[in-house]
Amino acid sequence: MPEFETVIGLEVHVELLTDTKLFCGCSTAFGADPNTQVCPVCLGLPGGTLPLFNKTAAEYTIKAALALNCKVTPTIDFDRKNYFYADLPKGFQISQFFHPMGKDGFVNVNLNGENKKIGIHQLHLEEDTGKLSHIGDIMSSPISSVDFNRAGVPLMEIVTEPDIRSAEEARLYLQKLHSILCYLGISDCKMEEGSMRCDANISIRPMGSTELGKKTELKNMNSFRSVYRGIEYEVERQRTIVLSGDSVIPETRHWDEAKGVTRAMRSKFVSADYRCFPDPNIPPFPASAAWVEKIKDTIPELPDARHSRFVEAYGLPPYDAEVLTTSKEMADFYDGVLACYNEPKLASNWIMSELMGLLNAAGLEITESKITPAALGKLLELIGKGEISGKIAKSVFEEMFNTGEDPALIVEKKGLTQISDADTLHQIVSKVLAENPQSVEDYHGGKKKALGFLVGQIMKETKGQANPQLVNDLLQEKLRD
Amino acid sequence: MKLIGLGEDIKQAAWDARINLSPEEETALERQLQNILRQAEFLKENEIYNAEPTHYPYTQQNTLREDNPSPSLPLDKVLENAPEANEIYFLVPRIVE
Amino acid sequence: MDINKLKNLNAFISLTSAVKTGETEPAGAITYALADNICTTELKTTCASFMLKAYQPPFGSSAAQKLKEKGALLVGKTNMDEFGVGAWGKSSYFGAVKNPWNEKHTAGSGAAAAVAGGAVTLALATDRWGELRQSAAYCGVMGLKPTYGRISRRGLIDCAPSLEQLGIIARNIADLASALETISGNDPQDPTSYKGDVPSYTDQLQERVRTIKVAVPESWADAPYMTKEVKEAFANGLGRLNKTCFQVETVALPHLRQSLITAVIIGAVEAFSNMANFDGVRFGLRAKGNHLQEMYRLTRTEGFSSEIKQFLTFGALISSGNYYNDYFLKAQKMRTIIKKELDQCLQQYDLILAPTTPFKAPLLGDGDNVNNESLLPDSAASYTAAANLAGLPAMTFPLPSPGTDRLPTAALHFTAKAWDETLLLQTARLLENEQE
Repeated sequence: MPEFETVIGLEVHVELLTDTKLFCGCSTAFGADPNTQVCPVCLGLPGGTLPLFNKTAAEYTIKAALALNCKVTPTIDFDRKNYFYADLPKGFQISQFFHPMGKDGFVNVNLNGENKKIGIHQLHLEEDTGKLSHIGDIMSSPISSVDFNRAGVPLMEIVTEPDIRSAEEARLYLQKLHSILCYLGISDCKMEEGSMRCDANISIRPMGSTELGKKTELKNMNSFRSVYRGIEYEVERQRTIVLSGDSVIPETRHWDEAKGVTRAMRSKFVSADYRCFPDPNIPPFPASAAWVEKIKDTIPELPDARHSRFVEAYGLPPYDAEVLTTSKEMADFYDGVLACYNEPKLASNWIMSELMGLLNAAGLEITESKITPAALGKLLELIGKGEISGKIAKSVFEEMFNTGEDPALIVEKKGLTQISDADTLHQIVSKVLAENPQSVEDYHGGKKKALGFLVGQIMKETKGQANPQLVNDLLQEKLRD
Repeated sequence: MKLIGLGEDIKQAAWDARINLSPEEETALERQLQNILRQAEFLKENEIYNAEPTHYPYTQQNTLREDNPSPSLPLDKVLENAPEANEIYFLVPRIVE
Repeated sequence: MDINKLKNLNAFISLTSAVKTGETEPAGAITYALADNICTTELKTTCASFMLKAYQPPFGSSAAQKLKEKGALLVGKTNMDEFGVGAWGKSSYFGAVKNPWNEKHTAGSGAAAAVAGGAVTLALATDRWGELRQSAAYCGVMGLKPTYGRISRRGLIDCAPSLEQLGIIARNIADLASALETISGNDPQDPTSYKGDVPSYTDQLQERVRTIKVAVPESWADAPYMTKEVKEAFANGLGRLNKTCFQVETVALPHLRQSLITAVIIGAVEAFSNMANFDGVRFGLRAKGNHLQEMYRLTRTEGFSSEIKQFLTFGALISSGNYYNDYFLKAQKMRTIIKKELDQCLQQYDLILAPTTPFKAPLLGDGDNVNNESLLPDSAASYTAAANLAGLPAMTFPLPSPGTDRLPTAALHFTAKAWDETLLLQTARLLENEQE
C-alpha cells in the first residue's frame, strides 16, 4: 500500500477587538439588535461610502504581523475585491490583495518535543461581511434576512504556507496562534462565537513527491476539536479515493459536526474573477519605521519567550512551562505567585494540579478565580516555613478558592497552625505511648509497622497539625529510651 | 490584436456585472469596443512598461481615524429606502438558484 | 428668477418648496442648484436614473451643506445624463436638457442650463472626464473643476472616484470665486480631501497679475470630430488674448491625445465596481427575481439606461482576465506618463490652453453627426480628460458667439498647476474685464 503525505494550509480569520468598524465609527459590540450598528459607509449607501481608516485596527494588525515574525508592509493600502452577494453591501469587499500588512512570517509549534516552524504566507486586513439568516437551511429557504451589523468589522486573515502535515499539527498551530493573538489582546478569538474562523486547504500526495495533489477547501469548523476531526476525516476520505484509483475533485467542502463527515458545497457564489484593484477612495498610508517600532514596544512577552524564561530562569520542566504559558492570564498568574514567594516548581505544581483542577471542576477561567496570585504565594510560604502541613494547605486552598479569603486568616481562624513546638509535642508523644503499651512492645519486638500506628495516633490527637518530621524524630528518640 | 471572441467576452462581462444586454446592445457595445481597442493601441508601446501605475490622482497620504464610536443611523432611516424589509431586517430572495 | 421659463428646458428634476410656492427669495441671497447626484436631505437624489427614482438619502453633501450655512438658497436638483456620465443629453430617465440658447441642441447638463438661463446664481455638478466643463461651454457659462481633493466628495454619488469631483458653474467670476471659497477645505469625512489651507479667492481676484505664460498644445486642432467653426473660433480667441497679460507659446504635449481613452478605461473599471452597490437590497429599485442573483440582474437591467449598462459592461470587460493587464493596468501607467507630461509643462508655463470641446453643443435626437457617436469613447472629452487624470484644476471660459441664435461655438479651456485655482480665477477675471 502506498504511503501518503498530507499537505495542509490554514486560513484563519480573526475579528479584531476594536470599538468601531474598519472604515466607520459604528460600534462593533457583539449581540446588538439587527441593523442598529450601521451607517451610510458600512451600508454602502450611494454617496456615503468614503472609508475612514481605523487607527487601532492598523496598529493591531501590525502588532500581529510582528508577533508572527512577518515583514511589515512599508505602505498600507487597500484593494477592492469585486463580487455580488447578499451579505456584501457595496458589491466589493475592501481587502489587501496586493500589499498584505505582513508577509513571510512563522509560528513555532512543539511537535512531540521537537520545534517545528509553520510558515506564515501573509497576514492582511479586510472587512467582515453581514450576516444572513434563513428559514430552515440555506438550500430550501425561500427568503433570507440580512443584518449588516457585522459588515465592516475589521477582520484579519492569516494564511499559512502549506507546511502542515497532519490534523494534530493543524491543531497545535491553531492553539499556538490563538495563544499569541490572545497574548496580544487584539481579538477574543472565540471560535464558537465566530470571532475566530478557520478554513483548511487539504491535499495528499505520495510520500516523497514534491508536487501538490488536488486540494479541497474545508469550511465550517467551529472549534479546535472540529478542525482536528474535520481534517482527519477529509484526509481519510481523500486516501480512500486515491487508493481506489480515482482522483480528488477540487472543491469546497463543509464539515458537518453532528454527522462527523465533510460534504461538498456547490461553489455557486464564488466568482472566477474578482478584478482586484487599488481602492481609489483610500489613499495609501506609510507605515513609518518609528511608528512600527512604537507598536513593537507594546507587544508583551509572547508564549515562546515566556516558555524559555520559565525553563531557563525558573528551572521548570518544559511540560510545566508549556501548560503555564498557553494562556497569558495563567502565565501572568504564575509570575504573580513567584513574585510573592519564589519556589517555581512548588508554585507550578499547585497551579497545575490544585488550581486548574478546581477551576475546571467549577467551569471557571483563571481570570474568574477568587484566589489571587499573592494569596497563593502566601499559602506556599506558610507551607515552606513549616507553619502548615501540605495536607492542611489543601483544605485551606479549597477555602480560599470558595471565599477568596487570605490563607493566614483561614489558618488562624480555624487554628490550623502546625504544631512544631517540641515541648508541646513531647507531652503528646508521651501520652500516646502511655496509652498504647502494646504497640510499644510490638515495636521493640521488631514490628516496625507499629511505628506508623503510633504516628497516626499522634496526628489524630493533634487533628493533623503536628509537624510530621518532628513527630517522627521524637517518637524514635523516646522509643530508644 | 485581440478582437476574436469579443462577443463572448462581452457576454461574460455583462454576466459578471449582473446585467442582461439585449442583442442590439451587445452589437452596439461590440462596435464601440472595437473602436476603443483600436484607439488604445498606444497602450502597447514600450515606454509604458517602465512607468509606475497611478491609482490615486495625487500623493496625499491617508489620515487615520481614532477608534471612537460615532452614532449609527436610526433603524427607521436604515430601512427607509429598502425595497423589501420587515421591521428589523433587509429581505432578499432565495439565495440558492 | 424665472423657473417657468426653464420648464421647457427640462433643467430641473426637483424643486425646493420655497420655489414651488412662488415665495420670493431673501434679498441678495445667492441661489444655487445641485446636480441630482449630489445628496441632500431635503430633496430626493435620483442621479437621473430609474434605479434611484425615489431615493431619499439620510445625509447630505458636505459641500452643499457649506453653501447652505453661508445663507445660499437651494432652488432645486438638476437633470443630467444618467449618473452624470457624459454630456450628450441621451440617457437621463427624465429626458434630455435643452440648451437655453437653442432648444434643438443639448445643454449638456441641467446645471449649466439653469445657470445660463438665469434660474440660479451658480450650480454644483460633477466632472468625471469633463462633463461639467463641456456643458458649461455648450451653454456659454464658466465652469471650474478644482484640484482633486479641494472640495469634499462626501455625499456625491460618483462612478469613478479617482477621476470624479465636484465643480462649480457660474455666470460671473465673482460668484464662482466666492462659492469656491465657501465649499473648499478639508472634510474629515473624505479621506481624499486636501488638508491644506483654502486661499481667500475673492480677495485674490483683485490682485494685479504679472504676465501669464500660456502653453497651447500643438495638437490642439487634432481631436476627433473637431469642427471647422470651433477651430476658427478658438484661433480667433487666441489671437484676441491681450498681449500684455498673456504670453502664448505652442508646445508639444504628445500624450495629451491619449488622455481620452485612458480616462474612459479607468473610469469604466471604477464605475463597474463603484456602482455594484446598486443591487436592489438596501435602496433603490428592486425587480422580482426567483433567486438572489437573478434579482440582481433584473434589477440592474431594468434600473439602468442602455448607456450605463454598456458602460458598466465595458468596465467589467476591460478589468477581466488578460484585459486587466493589457488595458486597465496599462491605462494606469499611461496616466502616470500624462500626469508627468502636464506637470513638466506647468513647471515652465502657468497655464495650458486648448478648446474645451471639439464641437459646439450637439443636436438632440439623431440630427447630428457627432451625436450618432456613442458614449464610448466620449469624444467631447478629448481636451478635458487630461486634467481629471492628473487631478489638476481646469476651467472653461466662454468665447463670444458669432451665431444669430447666440448658441456658443467654442470656449477656452485652461489647466493650471495643482492647487493653483487662484490663477484660473484671475485669468477668467482678466478675460471677463476685456469682454465687458
